[in-house]
Amino acid sequence: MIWKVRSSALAVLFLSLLFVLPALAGTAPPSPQQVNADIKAKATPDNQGMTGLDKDIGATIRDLDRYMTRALADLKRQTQDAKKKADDAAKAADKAKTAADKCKTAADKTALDALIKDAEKKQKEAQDAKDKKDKTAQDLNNKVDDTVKAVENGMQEMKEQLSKASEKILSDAKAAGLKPEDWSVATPLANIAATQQALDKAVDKANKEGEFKNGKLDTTNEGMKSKLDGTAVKARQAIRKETEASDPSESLKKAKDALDDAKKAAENCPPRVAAGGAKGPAGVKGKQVQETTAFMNTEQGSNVCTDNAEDAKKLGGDVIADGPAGTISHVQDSPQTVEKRAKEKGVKPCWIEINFCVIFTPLTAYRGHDHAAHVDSGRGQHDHDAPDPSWDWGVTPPDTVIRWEAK
Amino acid sequence: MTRSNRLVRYGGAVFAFFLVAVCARELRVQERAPNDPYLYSKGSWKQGYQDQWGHWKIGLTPTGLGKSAWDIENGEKNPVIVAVIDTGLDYVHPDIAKKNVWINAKEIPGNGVDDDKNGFVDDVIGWNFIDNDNNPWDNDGHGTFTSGIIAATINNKEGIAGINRGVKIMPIRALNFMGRGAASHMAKALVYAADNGARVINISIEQLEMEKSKILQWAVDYAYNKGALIVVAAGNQGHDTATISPSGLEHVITVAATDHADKRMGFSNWGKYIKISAPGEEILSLRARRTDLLVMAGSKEYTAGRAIVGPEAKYYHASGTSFASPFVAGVASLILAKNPKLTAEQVERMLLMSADDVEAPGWDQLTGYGRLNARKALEADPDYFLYTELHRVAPGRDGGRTVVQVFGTATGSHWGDYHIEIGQGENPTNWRRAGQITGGQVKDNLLGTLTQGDFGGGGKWTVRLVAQDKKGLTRESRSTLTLQ
Repeated sequence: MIWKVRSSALAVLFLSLLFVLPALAGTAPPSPQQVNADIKAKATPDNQGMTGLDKDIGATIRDLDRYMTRALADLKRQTQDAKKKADDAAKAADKAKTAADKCKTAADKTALDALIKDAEKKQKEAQDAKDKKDKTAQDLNNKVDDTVKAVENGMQEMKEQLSKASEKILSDAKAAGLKPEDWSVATPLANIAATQQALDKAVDKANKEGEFKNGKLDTTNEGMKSKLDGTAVKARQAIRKETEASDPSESLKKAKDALDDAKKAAENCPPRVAAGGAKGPAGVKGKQVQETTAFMNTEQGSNVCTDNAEDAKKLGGDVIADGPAGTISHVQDSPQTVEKRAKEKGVKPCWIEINFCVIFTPLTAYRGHDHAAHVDSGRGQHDHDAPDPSWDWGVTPPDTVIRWEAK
Repeated sequence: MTRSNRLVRYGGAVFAFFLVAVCARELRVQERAPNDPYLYSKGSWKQGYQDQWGHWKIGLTPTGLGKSAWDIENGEKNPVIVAVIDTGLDYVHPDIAKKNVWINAKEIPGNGVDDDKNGFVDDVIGWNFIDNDNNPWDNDGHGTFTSGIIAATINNKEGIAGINRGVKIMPIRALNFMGRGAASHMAKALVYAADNGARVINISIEQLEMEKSKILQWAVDYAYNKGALIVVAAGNQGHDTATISPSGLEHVITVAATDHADKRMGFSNWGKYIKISAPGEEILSLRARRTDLLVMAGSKEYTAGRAIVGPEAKYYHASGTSFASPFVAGVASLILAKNPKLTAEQVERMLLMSADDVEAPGWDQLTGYGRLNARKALEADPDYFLYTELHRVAPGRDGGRTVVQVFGTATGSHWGDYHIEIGQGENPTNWRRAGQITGGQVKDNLLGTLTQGDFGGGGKWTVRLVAQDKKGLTRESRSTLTLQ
């Protein structure tokens, strides 16, 4: 809002500058001195200058700070709630898995079904809570981005309006018959130029990051836009901190794995294998690599390959590209929904896949570690103070071991 | 002339010559080129080697002595467009010249019209697929860092030297301020890069899923078929790239990371998709304004600002395969600048066949064909290749008996033949031919089989693939196994 007000103030300046020009278009053009006097009376760089820029950005920073204080508390509550529900879901799933492993009779099966149902319910609740807090985090990030963008757009708009006003004055003055030699530092264009200089100066001042003194950034003279950028960075970090402080992802994964195991084991509950035989598979999965830090999939849905763009549109796809290997598109819905829709519409996709969350090379402490403290970094097994990263650090390809079978 | 006069006269001449030599040397030192200070400094963050050690390692050394890759080509005559698909670019960084940022000449800035009808309104320097606008500004720092390795202004008496003096970086933002994005963003970015003339595309990004991304393979193929060379980072988990995208995809050059002693960095992913390696330890590059990418990365041990370098905080040091990949992309752009008519396939051959062999002899799954060598790559024969890769050995069945199957690639431009050898231990000194080979040229398939009789005993063995071409040149590749 504040940026609309700012733009309006500028509009007053430009209108006031342009106000004098109709007189220039008359049959008897006023003298340049008269034009200048009129302009001075209505607007000068001083009275409509950019002294308010810092003040406006300062107000924006305060607004953002206030908003974030409230919103972060809410996010924290949501994250804690999601974590608690995920933990409950993991416990319920684990209970079901234990029961499945011990299942021997039909009565056990009945109890197991109830446990699985309970675990499923809790899992859904936990997932909903996680989705809710993820959305809140995303909304907060958007708010931060939008705030910074609004300021940047506002500053840009001021520059553009000045430029347009300058062009207009020049063309109108020429149309009114004023000769170039009549233009002096006291002319409307000069006033615009002075305003432009004032704006450039104000923008430069606002953007100033501070000064490096003795290896440290001295922010005493930091500009307000730079402060806003800093506030935005801190806000994003705070969002991330709140989101990951009680990240429910791991518990949810545990819940899912345990529930999957329980369901698989339930298929052989009570055991169909004859007494004395081996029990059915518990379905325990091996350790899998997983991204533990990704929490924001910014564009979910599915990616689909179809024969042509027409088929992609039938599936509700936003076409990305056409090529000899078909058309690829992005659909907002899940692969299951897209598959169902494809059957209904008679479309045969080449493939459908979930829109994976891509991350750049996961950053570890080693990406920018203090070399003096880690002289052996990156070579084989790496001694390092806790905590270790979640990835298998310094893993080399596994040795191939081949055992000859007995003849 | 008396003897003493002659001595005075000749002595004076010798002294004058000595003075001239000294002055000339001084002048050379003062006028060293390029004159970017970090190319010559060391220990800026207390490390025991040069700040831009990667440049020196691959042959980007001071010019004028006839030994630098830049003596052959500096990229200015034929500017090459290199798309960097990443978090964006701080395009007003003082060490990125305007001339090194791609400008879409067919687009009139700010008129709200898609002048070139490429589907993107006012895409003057690239595109931001996260916000779907024309401002690929970098809020994270990763993209500016990778771009800086390739395109930091050379010879401006400031900061670091990039690789290609005339390069045009096309910043394409496909990741948000935390370095996260989606496969669809990546696909759109690849298509955009290819459609808008990028000859080289650098992707220092990875997708960790249990399956390869179909949409990324589609988009990579699209760009590849349009003639782009796609260079990607291997990834930083110390894992096999087989299930990782794009490093485990076809039609990309997957780059592993090496340290200043030419050893593979422990985190660098490995596997049959690794083609080449490049410096990835403590690389110095540009810091995007107001970013500290390691803070955003969430490392609990990183304290804010620790990786920032220089009094004005314009530079940053970090390790990762993300930063090895731009070395290869940068040198590829130099090759194309030298000869714009080359195809992506030819450039790939030049890069791989000229790499300095590090780690195990020949191609290995840690560093591929070796560590990038810019000068040798620029001088390589674009039509020559002899690919010799032993990807894996595995147990198999043949006529009811257990055999050892050898998989890999053996193919070349002047193809001769190949054979398999075995030797006892991890570093055999004696080799003997063994097994039955499939024969012909093989690409990522069964090369041959070995039986129990070929080995003659248990323990550690090394299998070696040796290929030879009609030029008489040979290449090898090894794999060890334990027999029980």
